[in-house]
Amino acid sequence: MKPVNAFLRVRGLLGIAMGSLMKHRLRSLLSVLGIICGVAAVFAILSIGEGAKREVLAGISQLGLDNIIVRSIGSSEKRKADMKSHSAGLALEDVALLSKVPVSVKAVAYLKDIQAAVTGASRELSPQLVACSFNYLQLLGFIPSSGRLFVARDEHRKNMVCVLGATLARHLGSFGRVGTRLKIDEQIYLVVGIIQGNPPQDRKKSGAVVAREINDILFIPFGSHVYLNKQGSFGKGDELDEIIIKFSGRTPIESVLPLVKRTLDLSRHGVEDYQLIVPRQLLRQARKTQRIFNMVLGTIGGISLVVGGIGIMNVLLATVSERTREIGIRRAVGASREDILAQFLAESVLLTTAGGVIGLAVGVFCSWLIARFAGWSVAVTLYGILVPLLTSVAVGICFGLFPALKAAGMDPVQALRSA
Amino acid sequence: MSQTPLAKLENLTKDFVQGQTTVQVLKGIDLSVYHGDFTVIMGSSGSGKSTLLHILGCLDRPTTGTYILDGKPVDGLSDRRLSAIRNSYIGFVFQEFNLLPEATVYENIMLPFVYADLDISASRKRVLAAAEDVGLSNRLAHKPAALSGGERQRVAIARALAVRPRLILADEPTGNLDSQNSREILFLFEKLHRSGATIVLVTHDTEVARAARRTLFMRDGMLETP
Repeated sequence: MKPVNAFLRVRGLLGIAMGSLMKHRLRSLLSVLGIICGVAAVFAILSIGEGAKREVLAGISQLGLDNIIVRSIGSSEKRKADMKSHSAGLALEDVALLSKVPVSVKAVAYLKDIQAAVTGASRELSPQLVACSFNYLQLLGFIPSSGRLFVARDEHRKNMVCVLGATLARHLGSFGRVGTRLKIDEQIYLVVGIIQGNPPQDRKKSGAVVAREINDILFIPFGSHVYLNKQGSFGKGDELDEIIIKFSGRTPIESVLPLVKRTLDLSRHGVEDYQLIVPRQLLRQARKTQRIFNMVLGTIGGISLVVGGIGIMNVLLATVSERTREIGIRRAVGASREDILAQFLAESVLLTTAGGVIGLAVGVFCSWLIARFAGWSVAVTLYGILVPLLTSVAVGICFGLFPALKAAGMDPVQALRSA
Repeated sequence: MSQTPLAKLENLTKDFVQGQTTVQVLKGIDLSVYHGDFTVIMGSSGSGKSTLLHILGCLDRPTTGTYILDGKPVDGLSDRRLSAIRNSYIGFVFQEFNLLPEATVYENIMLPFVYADLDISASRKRVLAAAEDVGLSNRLAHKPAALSGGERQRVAIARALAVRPRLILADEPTGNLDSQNSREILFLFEKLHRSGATIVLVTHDTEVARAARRTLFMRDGMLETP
């Protein structure tokens, strides 16, 4: 067969299929309802899953994939009890020890959560206050949107300066600018920089993620917090809440983990008053969870597509017996079995593909509704579009095959005699 | 009359198996149809004449015997080859017209070309010419339901003619028509015959048989020459 004729034949086939589907519009629509629902469900699941995944991954990435985070656990009361068993919690001594770990440690940063009131324009705010080592913000990869970050001198000299998160800066109004002075617990701090966390959207819902909401925090240099009320009164050492160890790019984090653990354990006589957070492990965990989530929900969506496919098959079988005479007529004027097979398959595929396209539209609408009213983040990927669409085509082929074979296998003479 | 027959059947039989019993519908048919023949096969219903026509039209296969069409044996050909033969060699006209009810007259006449290797414009020309031949040029956009019985049958004849078949096979073409329409259809067949078409027509109507050049009788699966 010449290619031109092959093209004409395919076009003719689609024309025939289209024509017979349009003749029974209501029936066609009803029969693809299952496919529409299935595709819409699969699309919505994939885009919601993708949105959740991106949110989680962004949160984890913010912790730094080359980092290990040591976070102190337990309330101060608990720790006080632990002190009797010879542990003072995380301290600057630990930082010094960790810096000397004989692997490729790039930098060690640390921070302490502070309770203090900040006086802005007219109202008093109590934002999250963090006293951090001068290198903390650089280590997490922040770039000031205005002003500067801390430098080593700020920490050594206990300079009364601060860096604001962007959201907090906005709340402070005219006080939230570089060069203004803020009152923190009766002390005056100079605003030297403002940072914008990325991505800026609210990430509190992904509770599993331990990233801080940078945009809401007021940072002061570690050391300068001793001037504030209630601080520095914990006796000998200044307890830290978090130590961040950054390793150079290609360090296998898992293999240095035991070393970090041993270093920490040495100074605290086996008291486990800290928790190790490895973002790279969290990432792997999150990906795995996401895969399982997608698989489970995808399977449910897949089942609805199969159910939709059964509906299609049912309708097509009825159509085939209804159109027996048409099959006979077509055979008499020269249609081969393959032609009949192709015709019914084309109808089936056309039906399910149309259902797939409508389903995608419904899915997009549903995702939009969910994003709008439930506030979940939704992300559309090419994969999220292609998977349900190709599945609907596949359903058309699979479930159209049996009715099409039945049509093609009819004896033409018998078919012509049918009522 | 040319020497080699267009269609030649030799000792042809056809059995139908119905459950436990086997019914022999055709019991050894010998028949030669030559180019330009107008052959009428008469017989009572159930005599096997429709089955014979189906076999001549490659719509059914004989149980035993040979069928040589245009010098080539048809036995054992694949479904695809037989379909191609039906498409380009054979034109069927049925008692029940067998038009697609949802399609227009034009689309019905176009139907064989869906399965033919002929480009669209050539196909369209042939469809229009065939409609012209049967006098339905002004009815192309109508659906069969809007036509009279005689007109419907003329659509079916146009559909059979359009592919320019070697052999036109008609199974009781006037069976569902009144006498007026029957005469018109017969007149159409005579016209086709005069223009050189080869026709095999099956009927039990003696009126129809009179139009033929050659009449054969079929009784209990055997052909008898009068």
